Amino acid sequence: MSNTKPTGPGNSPQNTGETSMKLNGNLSDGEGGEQLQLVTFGLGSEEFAVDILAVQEINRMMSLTRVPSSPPEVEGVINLRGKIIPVVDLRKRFGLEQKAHSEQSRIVVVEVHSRVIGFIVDRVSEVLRISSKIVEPAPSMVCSVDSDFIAGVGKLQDRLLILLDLYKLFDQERIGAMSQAA
Amino acid sequence: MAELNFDPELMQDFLTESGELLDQLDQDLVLLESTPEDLELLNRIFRALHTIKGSASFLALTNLVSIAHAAEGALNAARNRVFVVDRAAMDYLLSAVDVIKAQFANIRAGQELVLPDANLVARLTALGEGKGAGASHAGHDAPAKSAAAVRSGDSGDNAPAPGMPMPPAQPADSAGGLTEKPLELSSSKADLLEFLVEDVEQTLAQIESQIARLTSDPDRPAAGSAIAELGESLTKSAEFFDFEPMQRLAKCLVQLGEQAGTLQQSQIAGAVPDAQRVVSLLREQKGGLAQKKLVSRPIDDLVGKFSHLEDFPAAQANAPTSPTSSTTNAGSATSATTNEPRDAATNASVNQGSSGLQNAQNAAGNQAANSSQAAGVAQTAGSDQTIRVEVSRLEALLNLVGELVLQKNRVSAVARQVAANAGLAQNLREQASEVSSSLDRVTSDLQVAVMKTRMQPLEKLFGKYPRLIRDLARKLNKQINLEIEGANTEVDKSVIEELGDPLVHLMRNSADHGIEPPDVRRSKGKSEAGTIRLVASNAGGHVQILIIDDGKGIDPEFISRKAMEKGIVTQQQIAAMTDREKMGLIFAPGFSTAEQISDVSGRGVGMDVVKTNIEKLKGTIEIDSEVGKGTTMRVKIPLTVAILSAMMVGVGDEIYAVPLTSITEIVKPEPAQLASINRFPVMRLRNSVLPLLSAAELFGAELKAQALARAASTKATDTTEFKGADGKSIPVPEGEATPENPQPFAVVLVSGDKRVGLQVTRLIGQQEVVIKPLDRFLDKGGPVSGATVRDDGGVSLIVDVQRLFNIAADRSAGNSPAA
Repeated sequence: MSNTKPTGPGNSPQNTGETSMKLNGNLSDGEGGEQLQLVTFGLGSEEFAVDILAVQEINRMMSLTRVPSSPPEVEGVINLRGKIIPVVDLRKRFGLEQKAHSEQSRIVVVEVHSRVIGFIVDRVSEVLRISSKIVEPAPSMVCSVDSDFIAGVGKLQDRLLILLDLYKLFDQERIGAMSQAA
Repeated sequence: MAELNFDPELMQDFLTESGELLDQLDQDLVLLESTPEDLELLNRIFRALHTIKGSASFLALTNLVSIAHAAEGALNAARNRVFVVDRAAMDYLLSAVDVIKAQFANIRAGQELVLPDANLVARLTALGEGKGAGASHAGHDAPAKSAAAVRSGDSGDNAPAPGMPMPPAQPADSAGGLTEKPLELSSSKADLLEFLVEDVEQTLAQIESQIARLTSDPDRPAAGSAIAELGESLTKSAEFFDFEPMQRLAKCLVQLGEQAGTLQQSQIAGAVPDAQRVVSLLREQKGGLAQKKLVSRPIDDLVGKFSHLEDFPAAQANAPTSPTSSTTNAGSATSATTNEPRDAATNASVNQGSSGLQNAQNAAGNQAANSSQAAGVAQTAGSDQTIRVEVSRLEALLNLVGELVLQKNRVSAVARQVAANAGLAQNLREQASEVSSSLDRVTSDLQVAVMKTRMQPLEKLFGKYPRLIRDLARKLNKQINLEIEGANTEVDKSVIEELGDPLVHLMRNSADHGIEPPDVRRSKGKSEAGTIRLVASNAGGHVQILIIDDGKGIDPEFISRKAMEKGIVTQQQIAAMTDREKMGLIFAPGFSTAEQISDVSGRGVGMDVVKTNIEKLKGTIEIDSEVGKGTTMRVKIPLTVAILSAMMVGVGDEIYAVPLTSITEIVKPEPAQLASINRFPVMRLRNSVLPLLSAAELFGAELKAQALARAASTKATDTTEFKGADGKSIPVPEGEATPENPQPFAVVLVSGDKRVGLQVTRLIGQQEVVIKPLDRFLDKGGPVSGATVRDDGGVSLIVDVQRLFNIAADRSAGNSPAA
């Protein structure tokens, strides 16, 4: 999973391929105060975050082409500079209530499992740097999201940030299984 | 083993070049079996093997050299009419080729080379030597004789070697300008020394006999090219020993051989004695090599003559002869004494034979020299006409062209808008459409040109089949002739790669299940030998490949009974099937009719895989068969898999691409033509009933008035006709969708002998589309397979006609009993 995106200032060199492991690893040692640079976005009333190194770009909503007989959480495909990539509706992926896309809706394009995938979120909030020390493992009943997808919970002063594990989230087998169940 | 220490690039060149020779070998050997007397063919086979051996020895691939050497020996004996290549001999020769192929695979995989089966080597050696020694044709053929003589000469060389005193040789050296150096060889190369020395001697003997042929006019060109080739292989041997003087002498022979066809008789006659001198010097060097010595003497003058063959003064012909024999005599103290008298004898006889002709044509000499030079130049230019290019570079180029086609499409779309905008200056509008159309032309030319670089003749595949059929026939105890037509038909490289397995399977099937055993054929009044014809031809954007056998044919009743037994179909379904559909059951998964399961054509995992693979290439396969007469398999595949001609159709407000090659026509059904059978909509199209499928329903698209309104806003190109499945121009009907009739058009799709009308909302126009793969997790077997970027930048999915038919079939199968 080579990522050529330049790392931001103060960002320790890290590999996206190890994001989830790194988060877990840091939880156990509790020391070090490693900086995590995250892109945060909102879905309903909750705030989520993914490692910035996994994010290729963030786009406004664009016209999607629906794919017949595709898994239900797949909203369609888009043309990303000549490359055709699938776009997943994160609300559907998490089984949240459906809502029409708005002006604030964004497509976050990530590279995961050597594939480029987009996912739709309600809004993108900010880029945030936090210390890994304030990240804790996900309690089993923290939010509306299956705890399998959660790499950890960042405890900010005023709010909670749910760190997503993209690798589990876009695991082909899980997506396949989900669509078979549906 | 030392083989893997070699420069990988050198090894790669060896694999590529020798690999091509190997493929050719297979074909030629099979051909040889039917025409064992064809000396030209035998020579070609021998030379190919010889070249492989030469390169292999240069790379110190000991195991490869030993098997190639044994096979070469056998072939040499065959060439000299010591024995006639029969089936048994052919089996050995083909096995030898197989071993070499396996060794090539070893090299590619970076493994140690497999050791050739000792038994096989022994058999081949026996063919080459055992029978060769007791040759009854001794007086009949010069090479046979000289080869035999050489062998005894060799042992003469080797036997006295240990006992031969070195010091006495030295004084003689200085007298004749002879120098000696010890030969230093790595241990892996040393193992090969004996082989190579023997090989050099054989080659020299052949060169001698070819030089003798030079003086006879009709033989000259053939002898010349033989000398050139033999000289090349000597050069390689010399390279192996890092023995420059030998290399230079061998080059002289190559030069002579190459020009022999164009030189005047008199010039040749002048060159012959020098050529013989070269041979005897080479022999002297070889003698040295056998004793691990590098023997050389000054050769500059002699070598210089060969680079100016056209200046060869014919009158001098006799002059070089005496120095030649004298030098050789001087050298004979150190080298092979046994060879000596024969050399002298040959020289003498050749000179006598040619001297009468020498002066006759001297006058015309200069003229011929000019033309020979010109020919030489043309030849060099010819060999530079092709280059090898890595496939990945072509792939990259093709991808870029794909992108360019997309951008071109977008420019065209903008240009159309500009041209249609009355608010802009007339001048600008005209220019826009002009630029767009010339860009269009250049791009499509470029696209074709790039596609062409990837085209390869089907020969690449077909060349392997004579061997395949030959082996099958042997295994099955049948007699089968394979006839190949249209092997020069070209298709894209990727298609060739994907087509290999399915075709092999179809051929096996024809050989195994189609062609009957000889006794059965006789009892049916057919010739004992069955025939399989493989016919390729171009048909529009497609290549059609027919596999025709004159075997027992396919009995539809037998097939349907078997299919029922295996639970693939029900009685009811059979009753509704046409004969052709019944035959099509052999493509059903898990179907196998082989009464005896053989290792020839599998266990019922074959024909369905064949069909799937062909469909992957967007191709089709059909069967025609008549019981007792034979079967024809008709495979149709597009020339390329990357770019597709498609009709863009609107379904609700979505746009899909339908491959033109599957469309036979597009109609606008009138209400009176519409009906329904078992609740399935159909239309009457001329004299037949066409089942209709709603695209919106199939693709899950919206058909509400809102969607239709949105759809109407996208511009359609003004396509009025297009070329469909059978290459004919097909008119595009006009009309508008209405909320009452949201899908007024029916695109008539064809697959095999099935047809269906796909109902769509709008017809947008024809477009060349670049196929882009869909992400794996999107592809869940739906009616689309792949996507493309439209000229407006949007994404359109490409309809997979085959899957669409399968889905339609599943649906009607599931619903009809209830209806």
